Amino acid sequence: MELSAIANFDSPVGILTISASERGITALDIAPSGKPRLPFSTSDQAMKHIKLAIEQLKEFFQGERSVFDLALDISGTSFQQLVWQEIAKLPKGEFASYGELAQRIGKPMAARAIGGAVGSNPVPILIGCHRILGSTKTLTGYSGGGGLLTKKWLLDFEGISYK
Amino acid sequence: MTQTSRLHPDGLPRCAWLNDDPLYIDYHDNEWGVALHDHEALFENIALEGFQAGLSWFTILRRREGFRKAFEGFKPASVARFEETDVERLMADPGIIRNRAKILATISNAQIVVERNLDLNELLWNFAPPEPLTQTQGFQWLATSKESDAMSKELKRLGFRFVGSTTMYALMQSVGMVQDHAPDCFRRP
Repeated sequence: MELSAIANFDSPVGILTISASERGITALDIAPSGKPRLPFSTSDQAMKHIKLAIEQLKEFFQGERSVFDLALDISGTSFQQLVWQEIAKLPKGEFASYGELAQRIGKPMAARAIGGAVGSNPVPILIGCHRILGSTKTLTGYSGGGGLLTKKWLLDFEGISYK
Repeated sequence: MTQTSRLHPDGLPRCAWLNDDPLYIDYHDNEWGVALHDHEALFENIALEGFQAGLSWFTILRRREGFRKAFEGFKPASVARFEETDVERLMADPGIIRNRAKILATISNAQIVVERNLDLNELLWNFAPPEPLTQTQGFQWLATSKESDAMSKELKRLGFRFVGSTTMYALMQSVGMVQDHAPDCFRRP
């Protein structure tokens, strides 16, 4: 997966830095620390993916979109891909626990190991890992942007209650 | 399932060197092999791998919080200022491995980092092999590599102690310079 383009989008949860290859979106960083990445593009196709992502993110934050329809080019272990694909099935407003996620991927006893896979999601918001809560709807954690503050914002935005 | 991995009760196959302790499993699942670039965390890794010499990693891992407290979070600037009173304090601390040579080496290593103004991220990752994933075909865990030999040689040249090639290879596996999870382990890239 070659990085061919980067662009930024100013969202209600902070600057989103979106990266893409010719095949699709490779990463989304929420309010990354340090100097903001300068946008660049060595591929029209990659920039097309990013422009579409930005359009859909605008719609999402305006309340006009609950499911993303984008080409993704993300890499991870087969276990991580399994977990991310399952999370991707959750539309805006729906949530699941780590235990439920474990059951859905056919590893009902692996809730703890799943935490790591959830946290290493390279495209938060596009794959809504903020929708994964503890079994009693506790927030547990969030590795993107401002951590739990970002997760809380997104859950409030989607009307998902939590402890 | 090959002999390099073992199926755990949660249904996930993991590297065979792992036991059933949740602390060790968490380390395997979330840290071992994950790219680490933080300067202070890398210093901690050098120190703990050095303390491991002659012992098991699990022995060290169980005491990691104790080590972190005793060595003030492994900030090189702090450890570099340790004096004989600190050495005595450490030699009396049951939360760590009380080995005077290793304690002195850790303080001395910190002093080198500070005096030479070393950026451990740059220094160490220079030795990372271009292809991090170890071979699946005929997979076995090696003790050393060309790269760990080179890293060891350079650190020794700079004056570091307890940085032999075996220790350096273990560090490279831990901080993600090599991807050495067993072929059937669920953490294999």
